[in-house]
Amino acid sequence: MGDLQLEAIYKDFPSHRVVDGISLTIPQGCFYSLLGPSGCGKTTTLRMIAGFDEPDRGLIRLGGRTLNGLRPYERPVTTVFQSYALFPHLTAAENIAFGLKRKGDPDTARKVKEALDLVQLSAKADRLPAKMSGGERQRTALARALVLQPEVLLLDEPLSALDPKLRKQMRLELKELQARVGITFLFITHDQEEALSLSDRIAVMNQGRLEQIGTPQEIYLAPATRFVAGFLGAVNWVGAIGVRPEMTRISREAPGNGARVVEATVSSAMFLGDCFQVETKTPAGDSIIAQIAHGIGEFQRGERVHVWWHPGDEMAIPQ
Amino acid sequence: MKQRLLPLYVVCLYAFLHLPLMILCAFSFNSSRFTVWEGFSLVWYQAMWNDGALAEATWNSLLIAVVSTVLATIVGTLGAYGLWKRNSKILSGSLYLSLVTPEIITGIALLATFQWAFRYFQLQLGMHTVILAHVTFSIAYVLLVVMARLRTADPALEEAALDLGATEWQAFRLVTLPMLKPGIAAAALLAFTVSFDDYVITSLVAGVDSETLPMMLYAMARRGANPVVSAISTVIFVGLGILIVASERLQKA
Repeated sequence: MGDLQLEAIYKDFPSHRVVDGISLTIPQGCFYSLLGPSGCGKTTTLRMIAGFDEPDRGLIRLGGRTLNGLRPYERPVTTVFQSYALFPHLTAAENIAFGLKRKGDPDTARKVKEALDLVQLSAKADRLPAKMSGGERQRTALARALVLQPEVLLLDEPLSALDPKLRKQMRLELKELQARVGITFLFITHDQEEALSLSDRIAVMNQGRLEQIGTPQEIYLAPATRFVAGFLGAVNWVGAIGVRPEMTRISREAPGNGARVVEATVSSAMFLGDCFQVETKTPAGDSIIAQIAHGIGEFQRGERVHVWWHPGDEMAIPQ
Repeated sequence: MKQRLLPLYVVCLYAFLHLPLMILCAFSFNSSRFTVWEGFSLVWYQAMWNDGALAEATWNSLLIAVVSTVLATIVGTLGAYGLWKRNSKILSGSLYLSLVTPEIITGIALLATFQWAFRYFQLQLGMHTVILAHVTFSIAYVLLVVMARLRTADPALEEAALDLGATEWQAFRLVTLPMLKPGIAAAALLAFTVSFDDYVITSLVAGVDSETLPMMLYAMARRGANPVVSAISTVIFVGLGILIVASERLQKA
């Protein structure tokens, strides 16, 4: 057992460099997310840890042991695939037993039963994947990977195949599960909301490189780059200063001392249910969007307003 | 108007497709030797049953079909797996070439190859050359059917098996092969029917001891209308029809 370390990992595909010098340490027992847009190299990084691909350069270590060159079945990591990759001819219980049988585990029956209990699938033990719901498949895939008690569980966008409602529910279950089993989870996702809500730490990737590593609060509130700021949520840019729409205020009168103020004209106002979204244009031509709560009043198109925010709410990002 | 024409069109289409076979089938139950209906009789089926040469040709055909199917299915399945892994468009695309090559050309090419090889080995045309020829042209069918199955398969399945501790061989045997089973069975049935059917290539590479059922039927039919031919044809048609339906079912499974 120990931390998972990537040291200066490079991986080239015939057409381009997919992973461009990534180094990071994933502490043992951590819920760690690799967040980035599609094609940023996050899945390739996962595949190199699992052993499906080998890095061109760089070391992958787990608790001091080097994983480079080991076949997937020799590595103490397991994977939950985006497609789940359940074996279609095997039932839930047989899928979960697959890995234990390969290792000749004498305790297979009991462990399978426990794993089914862990993901609340005991009643569906004899179902074939084709007869399961999306959530049941997802839980089977989780149980199948966890039952081997890996040192690290790799999850490749495991929630992306589920419908939005189920996705939120499974997110909660996943978080609880990780807390219960205490295994290191490396979660690959392009969904910033998922990463923010689940992770202890997040590494944001873009074009094969790491942009920032930090806690969810750190990367959301103090992004290191423009890319991170924009990928994690909407941003109003006023020169080098970025402000999130939910932290942007609007008023007809000038705000009190200390506030950062920009004068602007309302260009549209939309009711979004939980808030109003007001879009304004500054004389300099910047567009600033504010999400404001009900009760602050409605703003009309063409109205001259003060757009402002508290100094602590802005993100100063080096260009 | 449209509602009336469509069923009529369908009736005409199916008549066009199946009427000759139905006529053939009907006359196999005719008590007369000629194409005039005289009455229902199983006399031609009886004659078929008692024909020793026919039984031998049937046995040859079945033996050739079974052996070539087994070989072509093994080679074709492994080939499809390899092509899938390699994912080469040129290699898999060239498979269609062997499907569109006219049979007579395939037959002549095989005959030339055998004759060339016989200069180095003391061998003659016979069952073995027919079986080899059948394996050759069946492989493409097996490859295409099995590859169709593989194309719809999740490439992550084998990786999942490796990830869970299976070696490459175990991943193939325990995951890929069971998943391919319906496709392999369908491919084998198809290989069996194309082998059992074949006349052109078989007649070119057959020896004296390897007359097959289609060859014998052809010879009998050339000698003039023969209700025994009709009876055999009906039996073959029904038999292969059942196999094809079974193969379709398996492909869908």
